[in-house]
Formats: sequence, structure tokens, C-alpha cells
Amino acid sequence: MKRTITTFLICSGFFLFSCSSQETSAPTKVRLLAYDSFVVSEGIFDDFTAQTGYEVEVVTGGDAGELLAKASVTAGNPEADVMWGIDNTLLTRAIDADIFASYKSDQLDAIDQELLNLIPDAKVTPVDTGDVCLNIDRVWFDENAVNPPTRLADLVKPEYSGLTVIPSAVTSSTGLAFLLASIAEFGDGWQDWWRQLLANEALIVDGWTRAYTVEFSGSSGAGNYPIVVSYGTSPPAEVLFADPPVDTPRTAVVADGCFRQVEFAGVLRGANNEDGAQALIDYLISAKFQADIPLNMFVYPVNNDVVLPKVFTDFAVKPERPLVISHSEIDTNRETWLGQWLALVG
Amino acid sequence: MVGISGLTVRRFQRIGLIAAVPVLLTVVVLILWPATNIVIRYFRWDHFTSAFSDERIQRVLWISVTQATLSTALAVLIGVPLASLFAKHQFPGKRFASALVTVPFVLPSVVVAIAALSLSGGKRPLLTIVVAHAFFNVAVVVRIVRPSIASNTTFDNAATTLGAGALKRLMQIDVPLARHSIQNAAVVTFIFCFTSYGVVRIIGGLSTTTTEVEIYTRAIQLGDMSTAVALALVQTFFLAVVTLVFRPAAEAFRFKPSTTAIRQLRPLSVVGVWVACGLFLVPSAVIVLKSLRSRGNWTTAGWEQIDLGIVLRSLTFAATASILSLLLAGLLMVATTHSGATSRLISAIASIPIAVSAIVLGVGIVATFNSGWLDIRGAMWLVPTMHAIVATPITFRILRASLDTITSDHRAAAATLGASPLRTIMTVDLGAVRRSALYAGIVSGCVSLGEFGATSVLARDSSRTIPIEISRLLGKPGDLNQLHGYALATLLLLIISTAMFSTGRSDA
Repeated sequence: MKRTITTFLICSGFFLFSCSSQETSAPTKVRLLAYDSFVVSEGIFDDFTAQTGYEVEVVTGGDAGELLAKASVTAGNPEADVMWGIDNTLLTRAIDADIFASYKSDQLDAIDQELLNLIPDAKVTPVDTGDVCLNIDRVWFDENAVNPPTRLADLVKPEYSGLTVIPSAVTSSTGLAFLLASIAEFGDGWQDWWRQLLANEALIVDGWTRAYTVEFSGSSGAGNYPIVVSYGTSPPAEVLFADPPVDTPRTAVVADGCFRQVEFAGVLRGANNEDGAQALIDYLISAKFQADIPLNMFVYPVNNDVVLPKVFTDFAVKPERPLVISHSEIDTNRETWLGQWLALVG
Repeated sequence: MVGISGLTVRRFQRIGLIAAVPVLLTVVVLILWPATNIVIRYFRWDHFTSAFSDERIQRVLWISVTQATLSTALAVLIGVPLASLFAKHQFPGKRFASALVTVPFVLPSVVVAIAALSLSGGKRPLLTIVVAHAFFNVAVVVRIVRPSIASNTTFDNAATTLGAGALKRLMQIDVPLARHSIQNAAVVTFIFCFTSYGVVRIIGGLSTTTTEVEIYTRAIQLGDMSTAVALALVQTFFLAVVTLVFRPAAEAFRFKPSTTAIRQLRPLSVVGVWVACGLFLVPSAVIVLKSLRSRGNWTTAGWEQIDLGIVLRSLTFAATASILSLLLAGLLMVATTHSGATSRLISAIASIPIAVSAIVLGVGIVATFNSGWLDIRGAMWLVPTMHAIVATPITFRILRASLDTITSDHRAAAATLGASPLRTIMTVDLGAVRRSALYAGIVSGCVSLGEFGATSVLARDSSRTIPIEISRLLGKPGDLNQLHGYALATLLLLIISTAMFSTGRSDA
């Protein structure tokens, strides 16, 4: 009986609460726009709703490049309140298109200063990082008694002839990151290196899916190429999603020659619910939310208070000194570089 | 229009015009307006001219035309004999064989592309693309051509009596008599192949790209909307010319369908037919196998991951899109019952959706409908409506093909018996398309189930549909993700095969 009364009181409390929130026409929702591969655990926003009263509505629509193209044509009149997923290769274009409203969270203490330094005018907030690295098929190298490559320069050596598969820089963001890695590594000599790489029978395909899941010998696709451009966090997925189960992944990361991708979230200029949007940014970098990221999206959290899952500390690689090109330099040269690259490989 | 007075013709035309209004309105508001908006905003004359002096773009245009022509030729070459076979012969397992041939059309392109790649080993990209496209589109050819051949058995029997062989009968009777349907099918196939995105991107790699892939690369990857718009304009203009030159036409001769003429196939031929149709099973078999094999072991782990919520949601979307598309195509049929300039114009405008670049359209919608009461971005009805509009030209041509089996004598007879034009359309025309309508409805539902570029960039709540989930899963490392993705693709295959198989029954 007592429980029934309590339930009744709670229910009527909710009822009154919902009535009162309807009377004031203040927004009750925050819309979070993200790329199609955005995945979070069920109920991850419950704490946020309890703290702020705002419900989070996640909407997806395309990849990061498509989100940016859409946001650019509707700058100031956005599809949502917060956007997740612009990375450092797209950041300058996003800022130039003036799609974000400045917001500096006061909860940035747990984030590396180095990441925060990337951002002009507090337009966005870093939310995760990942590294585009070479992955190798350990089994192939054992069976063929060949030493795996340890750096980018190795790929043009004769012993690695016909072993590497790479996603295209013009149709894949992974491929673009790899092109940038080569430019950061070889400077003016990058075109010459690519010429040698092609002469060494490297295969270039449209995107990551074909490169990794079809052509790479270490994935379930069992292709013919034991070296692939993928991520520093791919091996943990090969353990967690293995069938039959395995203790260690068949693949490994080449820690040298990785390009760091930093992803950002920002309040969209003209957001319907700016207060909610700012509160959501705070929540996205909170330890609670950040801890949910690694095993759902296979990237590293930016919040240093998060304890990484064991499979990450065991098998993922986060290079100490990744290759970096500033986002403004990327933006200035992207078309030239892509044009030169296309002329080389196309 | 023998037997119908001028007055009645005008009444038919008036009903046609009224029926055309909702269709034209939908196309103009949801397709033409947003696309034009983007063109006006980003069109730069210097980009337009410089684009065509660019060697790469010249090559891209050349490849687009070549691969679409070759793909269409191959699809027609395989599709027409199959259509004739299904129309005139009876053999064991006919319904199953007929379903087998039509299933590929509605598979997500990422799945077909990967299956084709697994078979070709990544060699000879242009050839692989052509074969994959033909594999997709034989269904379109068979479905559009089959009804006209079915109604032509009278000549066929005479020819057989006079000793003509199967090939001679095909070339000298079926092909000339069904030439308009063949042309209709070829135009639809050509447009599909020309604007194909997923298959070309995955198989073609860098060397073999087509216009739609290049538009996407320019607009999204390079942020160069002006060149993208220039290319999109050329693509639409070219396809518009193709559709206008080869516009949907009715057969010159029509014969009463004669079911008694259907003959049994000889046992040896049955084996041949089965081998031919069995070839269509090969890519599907690759997908089924990929859902059950991991690292040399058999497993059902991928199947255990399937979320039925996603499946139900996709089916609801597909059903909504299919009903809407049938409605639009039905109106379009009524609007174009009469041959004439108006009717041709209406049908040309309604064909525009398949010739507009998907990515330009997607961005256009977001850019156009973004304020006040016009803000329909993210509206629940938008995605199925867009699917319906895109499916309508196909739905229309399928319905139209069966309408060709009606002669104007039928309508004249109805009029003589005192039926009003509306009543005539309802009983004669709609009566004839009833069976095809079921199939057309399923095809448009399947277009919605498969991926479609313009809607893939429209924001939607994070509840996923099957094709989006498949490409997300195939885009992640780990055996289980791959198994899960292919299990979903297999499930899609099963759903569609079952639907096609059940419409086969009403055909028999």
C-alpha cells in the first residue's frame, strides 16, 4: 500500500512537472547532430536529463564531410543545437563557414592543453582523438618469415612490394589522413615517395571498408594484402568482435608514422536551445560520457580522468609523437595536395 | 482514339490534368525547387567552362557514358530473352526462377559491390562494374518487357507452325513487337547505371569513376560546390535529352493476351534456364556465405546480433514509401492516358527525380527548407516521401508496361456502353494494372529499403534502417561486425525474395 502511494506521488509529481514545463514555452530538448557511425550506450544521456531537465535527441545524417556541407549551406539556421564529429582536417573549413557559436566550457581541466590550443576563438571543444596508422597481419609476416615494416619509409622497400592497401585520399577521410601523414613525414619529398610506393605495387581503393574488410589479409575478409591503412584502435576491435573468440588480435599497429585525428563538438550558431547546447557540451566532455566512447566508437577519450578499458591498454596504440599538420595549413593546401596526389595515382 | 468523340477526349484530358496537379506539385516543390536553389547559389560560369577543359572530368564523363551504355546493352541482351521465356513458356520452378532474377535490383549497392569484388578479385574494374550493373538491372528489363511479349503469342504460334526456331522467333517477332517496351526498359536502366554511385565508387576505385562519384567528391570532400553543380547540371541535361528522345511509348500493335498459347519447355531447355537463372544466385550466395563463415569456421553469431526493431522500422518505411509511390504513379497514369504534348510533358517532368544528382538534391533540401513553417528538415515523413518520389518513375513505367496490353478498343467499348471517362479509367485501365501494381508497389518499397543518396544526408532520428546499419557495420573492424552486416544483408535478401515470390503467384 505504502509503495502504491509513493508511486502515485512520484507519478503525479512527474505529471505536475511536465505540465509546468509546458506552460513556459522554454525548449525541453537538445538536438545533437552526429555522423552515421555515432554510437553510444543506451541511457547514456539519462544523467544529463536528470541534471538539466533537457532530453537529448540524437539525429544522424551522413558522414562528417556531409554534415559540414549541409551545415555550411544553412549556417545560422542549423538542423540541430550541437554538432559532433568535425575533425582537424575539416575544422578550418567549418570555422570559415561560420557554423559554430563560441562557447568555452569551464570544465576543460581534464583535457590536454595541447588539444585546446588547436581551437581558435573557443568555437569548438575537443571530444575524442584517434590515430590513422598502418596495421599489419602478424600471422602473414610470421608465416612468410618477413619482418613487418616499422615506419612509413619502409613501405617502398622491395620486400614489401605488393603488400600494402590504402584507401583513396579523395573519397575517404582515412585516406586523406594517410596522405597528410606522408606529407608531414616526407615534406617536399612526399610526391616522390608516393611514386615509389605505387611502383612498389601498393593498391589504392575507394575507402576503408574495401581496404580493410576485403583486401587486408588480417581481417575476416582474408584478402591478399598484409599491410593496410587503418587506426591505432583497430586491434582491440579484432579481439572484442572476434569469432571464434581470441585472446590476442591477429593484427598489430605500426606505431611510427601515425596521423592524429582530433574530433570536435560545437554549439551550432543560431541553435534553438543554446543553454541546453552549452550544457550538453559540458556533458560530452564529462568523465561519465567520455568513458562510454572507447568501446562504442573505438577512439580515445579526451578526458584524462577516464580509465581506459583493458583491451585498449593491451592492444591499441596511441603514439607519443604522432604526425601533425595544423588545421589551417591543411585547409590552405588541401585542394592543391589532393590535386597533386590525384595526378600521381589517378 | 477511334470510336470516342472529340468531346470525350477533352473530358479525358481534363481528368488527366487534374490528376497531374499533385504529382507535378510534389516534384516541383521537393525536387526542382531545392535543386534549382543550389544551382543558382553556386553556379559560376568560369567553373562551368574550366570543368570541361579539365582532362580528368572529360575522362569521367566518357567513362560514365561508356559504362552506362555497355551495362544497358548487357542487361537488355540478357533480359529480353528471359522476358520472352517467362512470358511464353511453362516450366517447373518458373515462379522461383522469376523471383531469382528480380531480387538483385533491390539489394543495397554496397553489398552487391562487395559480392562482385569477391568474385572478380578486384581485377578489371570496368568489366566488373558493367556486370554488376547488368545483374542489378536485368530485373527492370524483364519486368517492363514481359507484358508486351505475353500479349504477342498469336504471331508466335503461326511462326512456330511455319517452322521458325526459337532465336528467329525472338528476333523477328518478340523484339520488333515489344520494341517500345524494350526502349522504355533500356532508358530506365541507362539512367540507373549513369547515376550509379555505390557500385562504381567501391569497385571502380580511382581510375574508373563516373559523374555522380565525381560530383560527390567535389561537393563533399573538396568543398567545391561550384564544380559539383556544373557537373550535376550536365548530368541532368544529358539524361533529360535521353529521356525526351526515348520517351515512354506505347506499342503500336496490341494483341489479346492468350494464356492457352503458353507451352511447356523441353527438359533440356529447362536445365539451361535453371543454369542461367542460377547465375543470379551466385552473388547472393556470396553474401549468405559471408554471413555464416568466419576465419574458416561456420557460425551463426552474426545472425544472433540482429535487432528486429531495425528490420520492422525499415519495413514500415518501405511500406509507406511504396503506398505513396503507387499513389503518385497511379495519378501519373491517369494524367497520361491520352497521347499528346501535355501528356508527354507531364511524364517528362515526373521522370526528373531519377536524373537529378542525389547529393546536390540532399544538400538542396537542407538549404531550401530551413526556416519557419518551411523547416521540414528532420520531419518524419520526409525520408519516405523522397523515396516515393524517386521510385515513382520506375513504378510508373512498370504500370505503364501493363497498361500497354489494353487497346483503345477496350476504352471505346466502355465508352459505348455508357461509362464516364473516370469510370473507364477506373475499370479498364486500373483493372489492367492491378496485378502489376502489386509488383510495382514491392519494387518501390524495395527502392526505399535499398540505399538512396539524397535521403542518406537528411537528418533523421538515430533509429537506423537496414541499409544504413549494413554500411555502418561493414565500416567497422572485427569479425562479428562483418558477420552481423552480412546477416542483415541476407535477411534483406530473404524478405525481398519472399515478396517477389509471392507476386509471382498472381502472375501465373
